[in-house]
Formats: sequence, C-alpha cells, structure tokens
Amino acid sequence: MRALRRFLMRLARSVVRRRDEERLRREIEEHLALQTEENLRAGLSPVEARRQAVLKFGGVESVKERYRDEQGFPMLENLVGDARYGIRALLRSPGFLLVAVISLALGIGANTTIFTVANAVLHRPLPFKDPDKLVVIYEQNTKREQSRRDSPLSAMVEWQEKAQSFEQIEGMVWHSEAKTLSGEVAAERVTMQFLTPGAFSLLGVKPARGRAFTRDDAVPGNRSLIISYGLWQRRFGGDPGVIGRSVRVADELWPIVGVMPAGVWTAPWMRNIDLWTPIDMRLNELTPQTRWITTYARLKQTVTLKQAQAEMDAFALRMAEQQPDAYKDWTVKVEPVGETYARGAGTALYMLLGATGFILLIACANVANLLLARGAKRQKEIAVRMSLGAGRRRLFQQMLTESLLLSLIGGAAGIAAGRAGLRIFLAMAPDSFPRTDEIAINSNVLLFTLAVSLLTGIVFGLAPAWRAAQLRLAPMLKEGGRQSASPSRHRSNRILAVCEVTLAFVLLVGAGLMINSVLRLERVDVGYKPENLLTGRVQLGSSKYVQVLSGNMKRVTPQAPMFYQQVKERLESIPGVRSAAVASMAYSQLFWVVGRPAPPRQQLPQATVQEIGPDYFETLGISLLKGRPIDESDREGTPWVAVVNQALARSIFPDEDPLGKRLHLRFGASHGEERDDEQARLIVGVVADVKSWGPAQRAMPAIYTSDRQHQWVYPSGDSAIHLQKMLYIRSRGEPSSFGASMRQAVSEVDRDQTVFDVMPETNRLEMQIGRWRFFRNLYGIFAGLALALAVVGIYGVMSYSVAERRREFGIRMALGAETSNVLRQVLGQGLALSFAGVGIGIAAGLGLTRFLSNLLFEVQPQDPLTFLAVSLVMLAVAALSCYIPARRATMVDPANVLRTE
Amino acid sequence: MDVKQGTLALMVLKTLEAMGPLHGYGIARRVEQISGDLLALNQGTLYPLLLKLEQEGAIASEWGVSENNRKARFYRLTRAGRQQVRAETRDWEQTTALIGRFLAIKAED
Repeated sequence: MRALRRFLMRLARSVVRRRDEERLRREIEEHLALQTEENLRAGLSPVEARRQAVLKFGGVESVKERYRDEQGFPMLENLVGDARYGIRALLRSPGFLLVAVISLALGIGANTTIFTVANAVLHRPLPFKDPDKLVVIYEQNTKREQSRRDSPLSAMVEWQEKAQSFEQIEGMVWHSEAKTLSGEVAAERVTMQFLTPGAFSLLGVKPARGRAFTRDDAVPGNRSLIISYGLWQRRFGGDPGVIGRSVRVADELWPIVGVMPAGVWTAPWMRNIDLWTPIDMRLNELTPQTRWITTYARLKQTVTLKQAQAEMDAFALRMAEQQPDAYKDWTVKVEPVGETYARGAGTALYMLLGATGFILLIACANVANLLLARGAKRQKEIAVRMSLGAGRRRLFQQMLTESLLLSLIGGAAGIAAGRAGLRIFLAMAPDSFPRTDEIAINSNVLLFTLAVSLLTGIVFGLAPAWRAAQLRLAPMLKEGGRQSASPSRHRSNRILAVCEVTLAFVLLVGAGLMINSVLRLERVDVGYKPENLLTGRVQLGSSKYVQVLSGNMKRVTPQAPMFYQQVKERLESIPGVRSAAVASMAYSQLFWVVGRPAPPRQQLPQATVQEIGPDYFETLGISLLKGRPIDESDREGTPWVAVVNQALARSIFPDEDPLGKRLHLRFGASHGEERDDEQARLIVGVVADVKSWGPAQRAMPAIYTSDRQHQWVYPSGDSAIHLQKMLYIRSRGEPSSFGASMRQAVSEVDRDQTVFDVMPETNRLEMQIGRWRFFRNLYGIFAGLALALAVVGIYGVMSYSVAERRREFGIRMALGAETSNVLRQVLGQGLALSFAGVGIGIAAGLGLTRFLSNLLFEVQPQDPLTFLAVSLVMLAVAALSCYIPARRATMVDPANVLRTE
Repeated sequence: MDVKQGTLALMVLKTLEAMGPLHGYGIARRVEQISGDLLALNQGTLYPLLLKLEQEGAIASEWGVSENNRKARFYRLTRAGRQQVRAETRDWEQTTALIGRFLAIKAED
C-alpha cells in the first residue's frame, strides 16, 4: 500500500514534471537560519555560526539531488534524457546512422520475412477442430526414415474396430483425381477427392448446406457428392436448389448432397478440390493390400501421442508376424497432422532461419565495428562528461541506450524491409509451397521483430558501451584529446571482421552448393526435347467409351481409340503444327521375360508401361538407340511389339541384346486382381531414358506398346491406359499459342469431353525443378546480403585502421618507404583477416552444410570444388574491399603529417 | 555511528508521535538530542526522507510559522503513520529481543 502510494505520487510528479524545488529551498534556508541562531546563542561568532550550520547540514547539492530523485523516477528520466541525447548524437553523424540502419534493416528484415513465413507455415493453427489431437498414421521405413507409405485399407478397417487410443479413424486419398464435369454448360475439368464418409466429421468440418456423408453413402452402388463453395458459386451461381440435384461427372450421374463453406480444405496441397465423394468400402474386400488411402485419426482426450504410438507399435508387430515380407524394415508411426502438413517446408524453413540469423549476426558485427570506431572519435566527449562527474555506470547506460535506439530504428526499417522481402518471397515461391495465402505480418511477427531488435541492440552495443565506460580519464586529459590506438580495441575490431568473413563464407558455401545443384539439374539430359512442345490431358469416362462388366472388370469400346485417332488428325491439321502424338500416361506394371524361368510373384520386375501411337518418339524427340520405333506397320493383326528404354535394357538384359526378346505384361497388380496380357510382345527397339518428372528423377525401366495392339477387357483401374491420354503438339512457334486449338479439336470430336492441364512442356518441367531454383535463389540472395555486409565490415575496419595509422605511414614514407611497401602491408593485413575468416569458415561449413543435403542434387555437402570456388570468391572480394583503404594509406603526404605533429 | 536504512525513518516517526507537529530543524535537533550525539547525522539527509514518508502517507505537512516568526514547513503524523509506528516498534522490539538472546550466548551454554 505504502509503496504503491509512493509510486503513484512519483508517477504523478514525473508526468506533470512539477518539481517542488522552491519548497526545499525555503526549508533549507529556514533550517540553516534556525541552526545559526542556535549557534549564536551558544556563543559563536556570526560567521562561524553560519559556517557550522552549513557544515552540519551536509552537502546541499547532494540533498537536492536525492530530493529530486525522490520526487520522480530518476532511472526513467535518465532514460528519456539519454534517448534525447542519443538521437542528437546519432543525427550529428548521418553517414554512420545511414550505414548502421541499412545494415540492421537488411539483417532484421531478412529475419522478419522468414519468420513471417515460418510462423504461418509451422505455427498457424490448422482450420480443423482441436487440431492438436488430430494425427496421421503411416508406415515408415526403419532404414530410410524419409521413406513412408500408407497403410493398406484393411489395416485401417482393423484399427477402426480394435484400436483403443482413438476416438475415430478415417481415411483420405492424398491426391485429387481430375474428372470431366459436363451438363448444360460447357464441360469443365474438376478435381475430386475420395475420403471415408466420416472424414469430415473427424476434421470437424460441416457442410454449409445439405448434409454430411453417412455410412450409407459408401455402400456399393450408392453415389453422393459434396461440392466446394467455389464450384457452387462458379458453376451453379450459388443456387440453394442444387442440393439433391444430380450432375454428370465422367459421364455418370452423381447426386449432390451438400455444399461446403468457403475455404474448406483437407490437406494444404489439396486446396482447390471441387468435389468430395466417399470411398467405396467394397474396395476393402477387393484390394485388401492396396496402399492408397492415408489414415487419419483423432486421439481420445485422455490419450497422449506416446500412448497411441505404443498401441500402434503393438499392431505393427502383429502385422510383421503375419506378413513378414511386406513389413520387413517397416514400422507404423503416429504423427500430429500439423507436422505432416509442414513436412518439406519445415526443415527448409529452419535452414533459412539459420541463414537469416547469420545475416543478422554479420549486421551486428558491422554495427559493433562502427560503434567501436565511433567510440574512439568520441573519447574526448566522454572524457569531458566524466570529468563533469558522470559515473561509469551512467556512461555505460548512456551508450547502451544509444545502441538500443539505433537497433529500434533499424527494427522499424527492418519491418519495412521484411514486408518488401515477403513480397519477393511470395513471388518466388513455387506453387507447391504450403499455405502461401496465409503468410502475412501479424502481431506475432511484430513482437518477434521487436525482440530481435532489442536483442540486436544489446549484442552490438555491449562491447562498445563497456569500452566507453572503461575509459581512463587521466591520460586522455594529459594528451589533450589526441587518442592513441589501444591495442585491445584493434583486437576486437579484427575479431569482429574475422567473424563476419566466417559467417558470410558459410552462407556463400550453402548458396554455392545449391547453385551447383541447379546447374547439374539443368545439365541433366531429360531424354526428350521439351521445347516447342504443348501437352494436355484427356480422360474418357462415359459409357460410350467404357463398359463396366461383372467382377470389377471394364471393357474399352472401339469408340475410345477412334476418339483419339480423330483428335490426333485434327491436331495435325492445325496450321503451324509440325507433328502431333497421343500417348497414355505411364502406369507401373509387372512383367516377365518369355523363355526365362518365371520368378516367384513377389520378385516379378516392374516397369512403367505407356501405350503410344506411331508418331510419339518423333514428336517428343526421343532418340532411338537401337532397332526400330513403333510404326504404322504395327497393327492389330500383326505380332505384338514393344520398345523398351535403356534403363530396362540395362537392368533386365545386362549382357544380352534385348532386340528379339519377348516380354509378357501382367495387369492389375496394384488393384488386387491380376490378369496377364493377351500376348507376349517382341522387343523391336531401344530408346533413351526419359525423365518426364524432371531431371531429379531416377530413370525407371519403361516399356512402350502400340495403341493398336491391346486387349479390350481389363481389371478396372488398368482400363485407364486406353482412356486417359496425353496429347502432344510439336509446334513451329510458341507452343502456348496452340492451347485454344487443342481445346477446340477435343470438343469438336466430342463436346462432352475436355482437355486439361494444357501447358508447354517446359513449364511442366520447370515446376519440377522450381523447388530447387527457389531455395537456390533464396540462399543466393541471403549469401549476397551476407557478402555485401561483410565487405562493408572489412572495408570499415581497414579504413579505420589506416586513418588511425596515418601518422605512422607518413613517417615511414618520409623515411623512404616505397608506396608498394605500404600498399602491400595494408593489403596483407586485410587478407590475413580474410584468410582467418575463410579458414574458420571452411571448418564451420564442413560441419553445417550437411543440414542442407535435402536441398542438394548430386552434390556432396562437402563438395571440395564448391568450397574452393567460394574461398577464392571470398578472398578476391575481401582483397578488393581492402584495396581502397590501402590506396589511401599510400596517398598520405609525409610533409603534411610531420607538420601537424 | 551511521544510521541503518529504515532506522532513521522510525526515529523520525517516533519523534513526531512524541512531540506533535515539528519543522525539519526541530526534528533534526530532537533526533540528535535523543541519540545523545551517538549519531553522526547530516541534517540535510532528513529532507528527502521526510518527502518519502510524506509520499507514502505516513506524515503530512503544511506551512506554518516557526518560533522566530518565519515561514516553516511543519510535519505531523497521520493516522496511517501512527499505525506504522506501532507496527514497526513491535517488529523492532521483537528483533532486538531475539538478537539480544543470541548475543547473550556464552560458550558454556
């Protein structure tokens, strides 16, 4: 109570700045008068009486000061005073202020940018109910931890019945399927996600209109759709009557049962899903071992992640006993969904935060250097203040206040820089980067920046403030203000410069490794010519093209190849088109070599199988290495043929000529219902390996078959090889200008069909290396910043040292030293610092770069060439930044120096 | 002898309790007299202390007229101050009694 009252009184007085000095003055006066009178009564002379009274009273000034302090908050007022003084001092040297603030703004800005991204990607809550209790269950390879797979549907069903740790277990397919939505309006391509009926209730997401899925919806034969808000607005104009209406998807009628509210998504990479539909649970019996559904679960409120993991470990053990082959080296893992969704971006972001942390440290070292140099110039000022009675603590406080002031200005500039940086980041980020639309500066970010700024101010301000407070007064005053360089200050300057070089070097090595990776990626031969090539996808699904037979088999009708034949002819007739081709997507299938002893089912080799037309190799520019391509002579009646790629030839026929050998395909392996191809196929040619998934892809064995030599009845999924095809146009000019003609060609043949993903092949490839380029660019920018800051640092240290030794250089030149000697000496000194920095940097780099290995392609994190190249760059740049100060040292006029002595 | 922190405050409060309203000089003289010159007091230090006590609400002050007819600031104990004196007196007595016992310990005890 008392303390509070005192506090409030002081606060009030501080605020109104009212000081009762007059009262104290009068009280002292009266006090002294009374004491003097008493002394007079005691018989002292008037002069002595007064003198004794004053002596007894003690130091008036110190009483006044303590009285003043009691009236307000001396600490606070000192701070305000210091800040005012600091601002004046900073404004007196605008050059220093500018360099320091720019350094800090870059350092703090880079951190703000990356923190903003990390904050949104890693820490923003997911839009689900109680996301902390939501987990993903997957299988992880015990030898290669990055390798993970989904559990089979049968396992999910078993856990739904038996697992005790979870409130609910559901499944979702992690990729969308493109479907053609047709009807009164023009057909359009929509994306569809399959999930178990309870998946939305697991996430805690409810439809805005209509109803959620029920178990009945997943019963075989039943169909239902929930549509996205976006599709509802776009296609149905927000018509509430859409519930209960049926729409035509892939030529089958589906009733709409619900509409989701805006902004609903199930996984960050599935944010533009148009339709959701329940997984047909019959598939569980059909394909018990298929792994294509990701298991999601909600932990019971009382169950921890560890307990759930323990329960799943027990399940995993049992599975390993039942299926030793499938579970050799595999375990079952429970992971919070937040971690799953940040995967990929997580480590990369921490790497980037590390990089920006380095930049900030370099900026700190820079500013500390500047402050040290400035402190030397201000010695006189400090000495004057000391002799006027300022204590060391007050001086320390004053200098630190100045640093903090500087860092806060830097922080404000850093927020502006961070905003600009964020725009650059978002412009550069590849589409696959998670949650880009949620990345924005918020209060968390501002708090972070404030904390970083204050911390920065303390880090770079501590040493200079300490040094200022340690100033020895006597020698300063004796020397009349001319400072002699103290060796310890030089030492700290040099240590700081070495640190800067080290930090910049490590960042440069990181950037160098990534540049190297991208260079290698760009040099990889993808096996075909992506330039001037336009691609598009078509999916036929209507009963016109495919009939459903009993036993989950499908028959492709002759209409399907006819459709594609007509489309191809139309594409070829477009002016400016050099050639056109149609090919199926690549599907992974089992096969065996005719004439060799058949291996057991588990060891059948696998290859991607693609059904192609006669002009495929020529249109794509795939080079034929051996034999002949598939051509017009390969028809239904002639012996079935195949062309294989080099990877297959190498792995299956290492010591034989593949030409003349025969392969037999087996379909349905991925669906549980296997069926051999009708005939074996004779290998007539070998082509180069194609890396259509980008240069980072490993070349997989591939088999090309003729689209006129095939069976008509397939296990359900494999009919796609005849139904879903890629269209290719090799054009004479810019390929993207042929998009409209491609769309027109398709709708002319069948107006219910549409072509999607129309884009130049170079764009598609670019998307594949986009991630690498993105991180290379970011690291490149950061390394560039670091280098620039380090150069400023070295330059600052060297020019300061030269300025301080002007006298020495003058005298030496007067004594006959050559300019080249002086030049060499200064350069040598700067280079010695750089060598030390690079040396430590190499050691640090060897330790740190391995964290980057995820972002590297065919480059070892310790790549000696990169280290060497970066060392040379660093040393060259350092030498350059020493050169100007060194030149200045040689320009010293000896006569001038000697005169001023 | 120097005065310990907080001790001087109690002396001042106790003086005011015993003597009624006094001006600064009066308090200083009284403290000196009672302490019998054992206390080397810089009289001036009293004034910041008086301000502190006033801000805490233990004492109040107003202008009055001193014995030689000049304007002087008179300090008096408030009700809160009286309570504070009682509480601190009790604390002080307990502390001294306790310390006294320890100081009385002899080797053979």
